[in-house]
Amino acid sequence: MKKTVTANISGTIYNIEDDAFDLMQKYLNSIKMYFSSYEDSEEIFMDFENRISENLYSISNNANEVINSKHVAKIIEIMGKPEDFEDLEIENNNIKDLSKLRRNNNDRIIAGVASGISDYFKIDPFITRLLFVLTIPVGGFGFFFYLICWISMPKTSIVSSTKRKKFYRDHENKIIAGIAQGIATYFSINAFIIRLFFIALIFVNGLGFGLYLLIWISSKYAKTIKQKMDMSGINLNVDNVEKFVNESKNKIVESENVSKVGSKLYRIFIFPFKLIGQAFEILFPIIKRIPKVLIIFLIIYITAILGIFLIALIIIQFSLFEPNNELLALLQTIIVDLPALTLIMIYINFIISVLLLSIFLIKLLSEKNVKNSTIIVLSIGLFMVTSFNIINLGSNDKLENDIDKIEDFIEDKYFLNYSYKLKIN
Amino acid sequence: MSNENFKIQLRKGLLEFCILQVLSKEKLYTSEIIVKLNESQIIVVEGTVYPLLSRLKNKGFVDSEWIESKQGPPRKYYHLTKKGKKYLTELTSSYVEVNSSIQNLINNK
Repeated sequence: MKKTVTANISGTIYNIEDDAFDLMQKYLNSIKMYFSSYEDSEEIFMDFENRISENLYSISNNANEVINSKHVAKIIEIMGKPEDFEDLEIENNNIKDLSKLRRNNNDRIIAGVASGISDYFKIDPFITRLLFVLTIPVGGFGFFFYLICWISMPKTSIVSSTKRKKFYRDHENKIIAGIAQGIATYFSINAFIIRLFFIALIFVNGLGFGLYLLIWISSKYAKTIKQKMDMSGINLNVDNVEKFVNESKNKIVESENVSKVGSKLYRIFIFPFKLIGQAFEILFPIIKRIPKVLIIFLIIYITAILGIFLIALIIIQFSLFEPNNELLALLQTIIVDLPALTLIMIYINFIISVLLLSIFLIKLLSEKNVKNSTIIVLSIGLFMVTSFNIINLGSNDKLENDIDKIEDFIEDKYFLNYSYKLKIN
Repeated sequence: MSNENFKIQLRKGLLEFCILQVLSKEKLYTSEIIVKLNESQIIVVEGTVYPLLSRLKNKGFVDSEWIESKQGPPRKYYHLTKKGKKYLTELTSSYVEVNSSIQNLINNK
């Protein structure tokens, strides 16, 4: 005797034996997960289920027979397992590409630069992203380097390996944005420890706060089952999916029980944090919708401002500083006499030259045909402009005077001294 | 490489070409595409068609539209775009080329 259940598959009603139903569900879950990284995953899955229903209809004598596990096995044979499609994907995407430096279009926040670099070095993209964000305050390095990579790395949409653990924010167990929970899952420890750690760090010059924000910007929620499984590094196959789904159902029930028991005090304590989370949740999609061009513009703008600010700072420091020896005093006059505009131009030209050179080098690394002569022409042009500027500086009377003074000074102090000693000898 | 493996590899390689070929005559929904391909025994497993169609769509070779059907839910019909038609002519000519050179090889033995 076997229990049967009724199931509606794409509008057709089937009577399915219990074990066959389980098998079908497992299969559908694995298919759903496989397509979860596709853009129109919902539609593809609907289509797929449609076809399953059609096939089932014809092999079950127009849905008159009770579906047993043999029928389901037949369906799986006709439609194929995710592993069967995967072969085809790899052939088409050319697996060799993984050894080249490419932007990864499938897993991206801005342009897939960070995840492309991670694929290349086989590390978690989260780490690369964090490094990019953390190095922004260091003279805009993160901004800069991102821009360079964006321009010079060709894009690809490799389905990256599913075996590596990935960091995602945890939507289900979140207080603000699920970051602590995400980190906890990643390292398989209790989220409470991470939360305590963040709170403790807030008292270190607000470091905990800044770090939290940084991670927030550079990470995303685990949305699909596949991403949720990646958080703890579980492999993708039919059995694991079922186990995972069951476990997470239990967890949710558990946490509901806990919150019923949990004191009101705890909830009051957590409330402001949850509110912050909600507010950012609304702001975040707006930030993400800013067009690429604007982002590039902002990057250039901010770096230029930073650089100019830096130069101004150096000049001011130099002119305020009381020189205690003659050489330094001369250097001070030269810095103060430099026309600021020319200095800024030299700075910008220098930056752009470095930028172009880096683009060239990264292109070499991505093994793309480096026939792009515009880069070379542009660099030469810029170097010429820079040299022209420097020559122009030399023709400035005040400066010439200063430089002469320094030359005289050096000659007097070191060179003449030396020859003087020679004479005595 | 066994005979079976050779056949599978061959079909897989030609699947994209065949899908475009089938779509060049009329707009079809996924099941119809599969049925047509089954008739010519080109498919290994039916599921492979779905990721392929999605990729062809992302590359802009095919486009889709939802059309109401008399029975059941609306269906997603695929058709070739201009870019797809151009791509297909390229594929066809290189297929004919390869085919004729292999034919020559077989005949000359």
